[in-house]
Amino acid sequence: MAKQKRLLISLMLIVAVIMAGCSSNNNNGAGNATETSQATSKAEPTVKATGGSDEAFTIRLGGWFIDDRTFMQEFKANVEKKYKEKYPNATIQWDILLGATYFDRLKAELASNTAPDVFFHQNTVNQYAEVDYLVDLSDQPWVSQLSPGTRPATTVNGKIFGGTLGLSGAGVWYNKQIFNDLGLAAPATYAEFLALCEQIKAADKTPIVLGFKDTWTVGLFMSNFFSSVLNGIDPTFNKQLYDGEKSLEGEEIQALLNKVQNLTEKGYFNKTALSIDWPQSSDEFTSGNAAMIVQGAWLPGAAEENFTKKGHSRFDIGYFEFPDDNGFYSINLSPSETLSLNAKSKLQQQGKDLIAIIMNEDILGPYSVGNGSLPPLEGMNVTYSNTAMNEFLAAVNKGKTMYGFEAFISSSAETSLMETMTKIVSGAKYSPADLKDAQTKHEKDKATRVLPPE
Amino acid sequence: MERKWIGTAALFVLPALLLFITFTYYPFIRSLYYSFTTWDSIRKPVFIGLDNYAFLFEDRKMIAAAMNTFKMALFGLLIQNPLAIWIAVLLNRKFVTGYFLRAAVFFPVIMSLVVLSVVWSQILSYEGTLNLVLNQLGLSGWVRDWLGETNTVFITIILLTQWQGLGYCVIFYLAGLQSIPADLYEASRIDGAGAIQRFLKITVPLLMPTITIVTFLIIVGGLKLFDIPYILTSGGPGTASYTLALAIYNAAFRENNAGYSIAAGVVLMLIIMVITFIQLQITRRREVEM
Repeated sequence: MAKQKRLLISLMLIVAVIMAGCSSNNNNGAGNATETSQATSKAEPTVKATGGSDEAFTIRLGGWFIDDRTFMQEFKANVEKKYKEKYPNATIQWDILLGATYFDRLKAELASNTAPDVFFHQNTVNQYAEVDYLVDLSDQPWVSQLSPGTRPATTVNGKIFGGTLGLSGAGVWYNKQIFNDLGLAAPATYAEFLALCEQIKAADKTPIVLGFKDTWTVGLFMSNFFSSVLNGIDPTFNKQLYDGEKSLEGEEIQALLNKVQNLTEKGYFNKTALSIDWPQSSDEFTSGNAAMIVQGAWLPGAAEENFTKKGHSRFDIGYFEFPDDNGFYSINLSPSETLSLNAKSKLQQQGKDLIAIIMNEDILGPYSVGNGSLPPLEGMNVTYSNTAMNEFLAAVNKGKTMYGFEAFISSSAETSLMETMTKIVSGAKYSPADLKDAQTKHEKDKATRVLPPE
Repeated sequence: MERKWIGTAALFVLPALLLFITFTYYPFIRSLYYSFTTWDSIRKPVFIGLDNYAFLFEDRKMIAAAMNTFKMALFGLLIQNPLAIWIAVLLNRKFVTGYFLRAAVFFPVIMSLVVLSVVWSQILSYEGTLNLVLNQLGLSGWVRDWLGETNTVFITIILLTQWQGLGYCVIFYLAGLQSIPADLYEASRIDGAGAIQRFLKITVPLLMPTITIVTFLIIVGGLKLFDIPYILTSGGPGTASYTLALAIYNAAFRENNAGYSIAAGVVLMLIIMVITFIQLQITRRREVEM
């Protein structure tokens, strides 16, 4: 009998230990830190009830883009310094996971109440606000300064659920040295673009370098390549795609894919297009092997790093957007990284203060310069150190800016089109069935797409 | 007495049962519900009946992925499995470099997949080692981006996967071979049996339990293949190197279509269950006991 009792007690203890291990810890305002995080050992917050500025605590800040680039490290250092001034005993735990898997992890963390107190995200404000993951920040002082271009991106039902670090754009960046040597200038029409590709190829250089091993670069290329043509046909073309008045099987998309096929067949892309990633493609560009690269406005900053750290010969970089046959161009501008406060965080005021510190000109200024993004606050003046960014700004001011067409189709349709794009770049021909697949997926999953603000 | 024993046994089972119910059965049952919904894994799911299941048979990517997955399993079954037996039989012999060769065959298994993928992507890229060698050999017509062309990418991935997993199967077979008593071979030699007869009449029947297990692992591994195409090609170019597991992952995480992804996962599970059931019925019938 005694033996059975001991056995029973042992089993109950085992079960209790297991259940304790499995339960979530809601006592920790900083949430459950990832085990690998460096600051975890210090992560047990000892927040004083007063909420005063001398309290000791660890606040978690999640993001996917803060890497080793100099301006990113400066951004981190600047934020930490300013936060220390407000909370001398606080520690910021940077929960960084580079790349797209960050978003998958964030979703899981939000669903399980273990997400960082403050976190960066992208294009998910509507979804997260709808399920009460985000804190309404409308009363924050920096909100009144948000520029008209960024404000709609974080507004849901009239409330502000985050701050955006800026507006980011993309386009074609070119090596001015190569262009000058060959007597070329930025093209005004698509025909001129094709002609200069031919001349560059004849000079034994790669006209356009692609790094399609990173899937996001496929989407970025497609978005930019399609933008001018589709918006040139009709500024509401993208919305018509969403509404079903236009189709992804239509002649407009087919014509664009035919153009990509033509570029592939003429050998204007690098033969390694599908086996190199974005950093390798930027190496190809800055080493002078390729004349053009389609990338975001962070390219000039990244090129500067390559010139400095990799010893590539410095050259001036120019900018243009793919023009259509008539010389029209439009630039895709969209809000970049969005910063929000986790509704489940126990560090509400501290989180709001952290966001307020980041959404400040002192922090955002150097970040915008390094990242090549347009500042999110009204009246904020930024001086870009390189001519490429000034050319980009001039193009933005002169041309049309809009959301990319991918913001109006379902993610599954976008993926399907991106797959067609890689198929074409691999040298295979696309078939109408590829576009039918994209259109079918768009119709099926349209409800999952939240349209960008008007 | 027996009732007491059952009670004690039930108590022992309880912790594992609780864990299984919490982390396996309950999520599985919830997943079954989500497979009948359209759900982005953030907002509330919307019930759509069997639409997700019906669309699986229209989705060109899923169909391409299923075809690739079956090719992978079939290749493993018909090529990798016999090859592993053959190599195991060779390595079971006593010779000077035997231990070295066993380690060499097993080496790819213990290497990190990420490292392997990086190394192989360097070797197989357009400017990689393989093309360099082909050029040196005067075979420049064969030079291509092995992972960047629709007609070469999947066969390259199949070969890589087989190379990586071969050592695992060989080790199983080696263990099986070493459990076969040597005196059976000796007796058969005295009776005048040749090498092929010894292999077919002694080795294969007595190795059958191992063949059952390894065949099972190869089929399940082939049907669940995810990591190598995920790291090397993300399923591309186009849909040329998609596998079902990768398509399921992308539906959930790239396309925010968790309901559809779960429906595909349920179908994959059923496929694996049916195929492995048939396989086990066939191979177990051929097992013999010593």
